[in-house]
Amino acid sequence: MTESPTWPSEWLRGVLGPAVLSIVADGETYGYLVAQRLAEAGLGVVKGGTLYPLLTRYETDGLLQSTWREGEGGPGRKYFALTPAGRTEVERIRRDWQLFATAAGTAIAGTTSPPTTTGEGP
Amino acid sequence: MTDRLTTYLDELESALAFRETPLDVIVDVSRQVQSHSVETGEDPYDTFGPPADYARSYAPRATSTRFWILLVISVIMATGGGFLLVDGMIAATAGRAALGGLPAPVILVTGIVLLIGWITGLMVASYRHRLPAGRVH
Repeated sequence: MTESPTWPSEWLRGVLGPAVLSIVADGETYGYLVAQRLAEAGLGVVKGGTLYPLLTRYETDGLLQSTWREGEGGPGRKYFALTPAGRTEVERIRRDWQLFATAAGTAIAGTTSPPTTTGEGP
Repeated sequence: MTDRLTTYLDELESALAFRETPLDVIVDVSRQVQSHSVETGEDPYDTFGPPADYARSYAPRATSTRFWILLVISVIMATGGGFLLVDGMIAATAGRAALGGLPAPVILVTGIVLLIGWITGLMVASYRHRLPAGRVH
């Protein structure tokens, strides 16, 4: 098993929200499974202290809805699903992300044309 | 549930209650921590961070307006009541008028009323601030 790299936190900050919404878009799920899916996707270990407040924020914003289901002798699990507004948001994210990823990849890979110089300078 | 998880939930619920988080949110947050920790076996302090920090992510307000109002009223009532009580006692012992030329018993009783009011106010605020069932987990 390959160990997933540790990504800079500022990269993850931008990716985590869209990734979490996209995972929930694949079907009703709960926090621990979302964390597992993020790890499987190669985004590394996202701790509960980061993940659960994010899920709660999306729920407060009306993008997610939740239901507690009792477990056998345990505290149960809180399942999350997309609301219609959440589904619209995921569609928008997926559409825009492709454009953003292409633009960022082009810029970072250094394949962009250098800006034209005007000959003016110090 | 491990002792460590129980301790974490106690600290988390207290921290959320201190920030005047609604009870239904406290129950929900606490239950999610419990659910995740029981299922994964992870240490809650490692997974969720210090309880006070984790509480802040749900209720960013550090201290409430009510807290500061209570503090200011407490200082006024405690110092004012104490001063009037002492002044009234001294005036009554010396057989002279007290503060503002008022009779010593009036100042004395006013001081006592302020101090009793202060203590009663603190007890009421403390009672209303605690979690309804002590623990929610």
